[in-house]
Amino acid sequence: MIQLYGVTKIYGRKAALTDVSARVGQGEFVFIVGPSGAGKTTLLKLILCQEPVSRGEILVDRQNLKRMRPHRVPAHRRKIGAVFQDFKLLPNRTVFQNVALRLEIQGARRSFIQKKVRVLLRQLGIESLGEAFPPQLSGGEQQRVAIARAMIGDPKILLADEPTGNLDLDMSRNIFQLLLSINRGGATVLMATHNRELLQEANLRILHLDKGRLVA
Amino acid sequence: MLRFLSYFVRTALSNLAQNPFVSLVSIATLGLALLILAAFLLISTNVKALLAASAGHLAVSIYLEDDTQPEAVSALKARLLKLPETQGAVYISKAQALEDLKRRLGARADLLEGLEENPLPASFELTLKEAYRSPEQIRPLLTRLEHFPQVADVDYAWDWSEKLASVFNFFKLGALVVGGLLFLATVFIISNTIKLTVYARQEELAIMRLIGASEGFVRAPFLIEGILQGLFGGLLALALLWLMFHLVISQVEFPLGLTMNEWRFLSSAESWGLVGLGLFLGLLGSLIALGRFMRE
Repeated sequence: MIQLYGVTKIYGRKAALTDVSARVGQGEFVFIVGPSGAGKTTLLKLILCQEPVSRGEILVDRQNLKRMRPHRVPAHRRKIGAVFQDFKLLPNRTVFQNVALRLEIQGARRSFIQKKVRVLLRQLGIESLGEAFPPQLSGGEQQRVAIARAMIGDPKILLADEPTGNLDLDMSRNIFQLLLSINRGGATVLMATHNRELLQEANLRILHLDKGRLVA
Repeated sequence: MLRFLSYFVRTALSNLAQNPFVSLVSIATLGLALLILAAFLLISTNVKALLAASAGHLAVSIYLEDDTQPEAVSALKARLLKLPETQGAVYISKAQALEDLKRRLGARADLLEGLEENPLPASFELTLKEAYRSPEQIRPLLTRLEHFPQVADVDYAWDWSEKLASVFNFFKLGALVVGGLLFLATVFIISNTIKLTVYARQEELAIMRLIGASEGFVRAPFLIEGILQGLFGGLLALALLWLMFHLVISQVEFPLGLTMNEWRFLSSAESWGLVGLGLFLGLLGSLIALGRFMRE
């Protein structure tokens, strides 16, 4: 599903990623680990076409991102559900509207949107927060809203950048179980984390980054 | 596209509602600009109608030589009626002219009693077809008529109709200049209103792009916001004009015995045109704003 060939990303003079090659198969769940500044977030940004690759090639769902025309990028991003480290929720829209936005973008019918968002919010245990605005929510609640928005479009790929950062272990397990269930539903999941407990408990494939290089 | 429309309109309305003061200012400015233009249009169409109507009343007076024989009068009448410009030609004999003058003098008709002979000439009152009533067309006609046999003099009430025509031209020019300047100001204000909204929401728009929104999806609500501002401005102008028309103009007394029922409001095509113009200006303003601000 995702193939990286000698991927290098340079910001100014500093290389954030150097010569990274890896393959992630369809339906796989892969952790990306490494200390802060190792290039985890950069890798996810490249896959989402948030930044262009400096050298090397990235193929996502058989499409080469380097050759992707700008007007194709939105459709590429709609294949991907992304949970950002800083959530990136719209502060002046309700939880419901934040999650619904992803479906509005693809032109879903309003009745369908109403139903689907409500069901998902219930699954994630945040149904009661539908009319709240993100700044009124705790970190864990915002995290779930961000996950709900990433899930709502039934993406082929889910990218999660530190989705358990700042959460206690119980809440982290809870969120992780959620990502696992999305993965069981068929989505390929890439999760950047440095939560050691989760890594030990889960026993899943790990891509280990250090100073921008893949070390294991 | 239609599937998105409800989302776009909802978003545009909520954008407008989030900055009610700014939105109202730009709607009011546009409304005012359109109102001034529409008022000029209204007055100038009415002056134009007045001109045309008055030209219908105004006739070319053709005074005849005193020694003109009845056969020559009939010949002249036949010739006048054959002119393409002629709507009608009425003969007024010397005696008839004197009668008319007596009637007009009323109580002071005794002034005429000392006259030994009738000093008034016989004449034709020539009314013109509507298509031939402009000064440019009347002037050469008068020259031609002067050369007809038995014609002593030709007269036309230039004074009055030319004054009206110059008022009309003044209104046309005024509408163009003032309207044009106001349009520029309006487009500038609308584009700035939308720029402010776009600027305030840069982060939000970036997030929308990250979760897969196309440029069209991101931009459309702003276009609709501009269109709505234009639409509301146009409707405001129309409403104000209607009020002004019925509250102000109907209170004014007009010279020459003109009454309100000779004044007409904008036709429905003109009214829709006014609203459409507002809509177009709103769209233009938002296109300018987006063109500058949304290039990634």
